Amino acid sequence: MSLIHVRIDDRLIHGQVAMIWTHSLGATRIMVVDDEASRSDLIKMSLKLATPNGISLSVLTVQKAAERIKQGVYEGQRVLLIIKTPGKLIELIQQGVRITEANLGNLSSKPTELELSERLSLSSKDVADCKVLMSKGILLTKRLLPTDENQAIAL
Amino acid sequence: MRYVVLATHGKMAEGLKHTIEWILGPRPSLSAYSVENDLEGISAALKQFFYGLETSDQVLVFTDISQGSTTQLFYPYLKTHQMHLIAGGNLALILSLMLYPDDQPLTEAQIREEIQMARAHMHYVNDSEIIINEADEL
Repeated sequence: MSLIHVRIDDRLIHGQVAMIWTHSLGATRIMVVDDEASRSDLIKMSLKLATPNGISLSVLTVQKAAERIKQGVYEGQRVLLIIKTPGKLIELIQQGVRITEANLGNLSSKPTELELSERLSLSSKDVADCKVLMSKGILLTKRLLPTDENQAIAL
Repeated sequence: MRYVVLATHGKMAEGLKHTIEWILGPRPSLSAYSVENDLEGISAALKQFFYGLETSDQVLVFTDISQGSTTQLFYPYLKTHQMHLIAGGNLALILSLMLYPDDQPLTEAQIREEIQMARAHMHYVNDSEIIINEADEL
């Protein structure tokens, strides 16, 4: 399976992702799935600057990402997928992408309904969307480091 | 067990500890010494710390200025303890060394290699060229 890790993070690529997760997962490609980013050259260039050397970058709309993943374009690669919200991940799954687990990185949704940690503020929609994901059998975690215990979040 | 000690002029060490723990989560093996006027007090605290260690314990020390008093405070332990003293380190270096499992000692070669790699993290971003590779999908 080319999709080695799914991360829900509204900051997309940043220090923790670039310095820690990419290396310890041995990712060869970071895939940012975000409609807004894929339409903005400025965002795409800053994402490219944030991507560690030697790692490929994709910035794709939900639809395009789903198409390409399903076509098996990334066979033999190790893809770290980053998407901004649980809701967007549901869209990706509805388009036929199979996912078994996702890690919550940073969320700063307002108004905040539930604070899971100092870096995870969920809106009521996020909470509802997470429940949908869990009902589909997806393991949702909030690991800070790849070595942390892979325990399901409680909602 | 490996301990990490930060020592700086003023409160940078405390700030650095806060930053590191924001990224890595709480680290009980990490301590910070903000060196201001009370050199003797800190010196005594360090003595207590070092003499409370087991012989198998390793200590990584990061200081701000190579020739500064912060660095000199640790000279007494270079010969007596398994201490690795690094001056002028950056966040990339501290994080990368702290990501090694802390129940196995780091080797001198590993430390040298990580220092080499961390140097690249200080760079002039204005000079960065964005190179789009064929494998990128932008």
